[in-house]
Amino acid sequence: MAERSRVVITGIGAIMPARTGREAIWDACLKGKSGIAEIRSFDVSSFPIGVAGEIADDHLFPLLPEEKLGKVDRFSALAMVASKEALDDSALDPQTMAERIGVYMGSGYSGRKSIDEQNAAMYRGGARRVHPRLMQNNITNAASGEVAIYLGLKGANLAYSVGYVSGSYAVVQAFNTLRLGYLDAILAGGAEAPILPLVLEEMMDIGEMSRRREDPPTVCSPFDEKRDGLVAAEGACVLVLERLESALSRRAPIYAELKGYRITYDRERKVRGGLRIGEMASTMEEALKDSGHRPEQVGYICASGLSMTADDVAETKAIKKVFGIQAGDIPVSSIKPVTGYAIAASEVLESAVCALAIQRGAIPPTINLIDPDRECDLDYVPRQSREAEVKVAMSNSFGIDGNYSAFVLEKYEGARP
Amino acid sequence: MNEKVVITGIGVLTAIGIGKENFWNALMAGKSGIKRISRFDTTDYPTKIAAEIRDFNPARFMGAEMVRKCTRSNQLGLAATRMALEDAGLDLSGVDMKRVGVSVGVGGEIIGMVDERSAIARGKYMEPKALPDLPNLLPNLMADEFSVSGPTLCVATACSAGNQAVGQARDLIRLGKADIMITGGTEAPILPLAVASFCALRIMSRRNDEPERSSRPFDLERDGFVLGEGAGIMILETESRARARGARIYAEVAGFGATCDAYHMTIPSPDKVQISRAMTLALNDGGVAPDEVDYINAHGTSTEANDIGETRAIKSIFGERAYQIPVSSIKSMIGHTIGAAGAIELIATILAIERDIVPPTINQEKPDPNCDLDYVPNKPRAHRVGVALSNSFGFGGNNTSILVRKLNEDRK
Repeated sequence: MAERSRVVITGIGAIMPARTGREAIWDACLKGKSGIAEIRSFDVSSFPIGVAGEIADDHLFPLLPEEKLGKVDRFSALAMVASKEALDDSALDPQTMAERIGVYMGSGYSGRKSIDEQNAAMYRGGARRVHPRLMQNNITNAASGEVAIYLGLKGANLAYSVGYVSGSYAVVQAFNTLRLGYLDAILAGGAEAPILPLVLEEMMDIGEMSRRREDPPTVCSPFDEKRDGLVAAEGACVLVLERLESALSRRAPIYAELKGYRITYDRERKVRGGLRIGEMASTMEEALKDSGHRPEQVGYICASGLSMTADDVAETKAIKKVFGIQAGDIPVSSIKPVTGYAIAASEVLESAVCALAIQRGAIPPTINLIDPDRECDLDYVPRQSREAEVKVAMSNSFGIDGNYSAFVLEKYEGARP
Repeated sequence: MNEKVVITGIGVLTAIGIGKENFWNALMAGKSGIKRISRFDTTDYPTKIAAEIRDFNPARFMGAEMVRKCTRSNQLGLAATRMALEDAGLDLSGVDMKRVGVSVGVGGEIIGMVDERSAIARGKYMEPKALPDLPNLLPNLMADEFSVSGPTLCVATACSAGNQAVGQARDLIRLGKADIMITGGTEAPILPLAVASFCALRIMSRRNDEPERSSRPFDLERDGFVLGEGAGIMILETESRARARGARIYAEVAGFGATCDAYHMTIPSPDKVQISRAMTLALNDGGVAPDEVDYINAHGTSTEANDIGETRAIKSIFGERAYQIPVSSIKSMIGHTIGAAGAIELIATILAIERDIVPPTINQEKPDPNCDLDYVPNKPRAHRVGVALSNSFGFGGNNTSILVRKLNEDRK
């Protein structure tokens, strides 16, 4: 096989509930400041779910170019904000490199806000009520297209719609494109805006969602006895993935190297609703194999940790299956209590968290973990962050639709700029 | 491993024919599949025409439970896959399924799912159809139906998705991530909300009284594009694998180019630089000089912005030789099938390579002075096709071009 390019992360951008920007989100993860709150975007007094991770319009709108306010779907707006931060962070020059930088974005629910609103408008008032921007705003590549226009990026523009691994596929395919050397850098990310009544109802049909309303920041409590389901969120996270040679040639700071991945689909889960620990385990095993690492090299696992009764136990058992007796020595934490589950955005953010843990030698805690489930007996880094040198980290996303992904990242220790 | 990636199987469903031979025969006959919309009441719609598949019986291709739970778009995709696997003579029973993947293109997979479900639930869908399940993700349904467990992804880049999906499938094989890729696109957009949203954009033909003459790419009297439904799926594998199992090879996927205008979501950039660059990248990727290209399957949507722009872009690359290259748009017959378009058009292109006949652009009556290439008007033409390009451009400013090449022949 021909020599393939190595791929590193040289930029990170994100917007998540209660926090805007990479540093604020990292800080919230380390300090355990939850962005989960009572749902404000629609009346939940008679809705089965009362809390979620939402981004206040006051935080989002000032970050958008004025001419786009109210003109793009919410998931595209989130993608634009995160992409701008990621590109700025990387210090890539879109003027001179426009044609060498691509944009790959994934979303599970894409422009559902626009679709649900316009569908209701049509059945109320007729076909001629439908807004001319519906088509351009709802499609999954609305986010990647708007980002390209906003930032002037003229490389390949791709969008992925694969349920709960849509953000993962954006990262994976960007990784693959760069390994083949077709582009120098790609903005790869996920954006999700699912806090909508119809979408939350659909999510309830396929996964356990918390119905608790009291003290919202404590509702999402992975691996704890009192957990009773996931908490949905909106957000976006975008990585600048870059060919190592390109990053070195321009002396760009490197967060970490992306080493390997695996995406799988657990057919049995969807068909029968039963979790298969084996499928979760093989996702991790094959990601490690792809990366060329052995299990004992992993120094941190950013867990899927959705705060679901069965899933948290299954992920725990899967980690034990892969890492054997050493499983208990590996810090495993879930940032879901801080960010909520923002599907495509979370998939990508958790790889970013691995990269930051590697770069900064710190591991974010699993907050709200007071009374661990008897079957959840790993080191979940409860409540307090920890300093630790992490050379290899793994990020898991085990989607409630049976779509699973795992990524392996490694400290970049080669030639330094 | 820069081994050649080849196409060994084809499955296709369009308004003019289901199956490779029916489709090809209709292309050769210059048949239009565009009629009045039958699927829902179009009283309130300025455009009342589309290319619907009228004779599709999903039960011929999949079990009753799969028929029940799938959206129409996904039924079409599964049916095309079934045909493509049969056409490839692929027996998957002895294959490591982790080495078999799926890369399919779709345009409106989310809106289509919402649209179809709400039309059925409200009794507005004028054809017997069960309410599809949620979620209804084609890559997962393909895994359910065919037990594939390699990379299974869905490329959602609107009108270029079918073309992009094939490019991505080729990359996965070249990287050693899969041995066999099931790839192409599917779309069933003839639904109340989707059609209303395209009507609102004022880019669709309103030639409601002459549906068969409505899609007329490059013709002066065109008045917009016409929606169509369809699916096109191909089987990709390495040349050595195909040879080892004695498979028929239609063509090599020799090059791919993808660019973005970064200009506007729905209006193509007037400078056409990125459209030209997509074609140039595909040529360079395949190591082919512009003067080797024998045929271009155009995006040719039957909109002024596309047809004139694509013509200019082709001239900018091929110069004087542009006038000698047959350029045709089968959208004149099957309409614009959005996420499936790039795949179905690639299928037409590789059949042209296999058979050395190029399909026509029908409804060429009054040439647009700004569109002065050889669009193969109205009648197919016997013409040796060794190397061809198939273009797709889409919402979001996406521009893609695939280069395909006949194998078993000297290139010069």
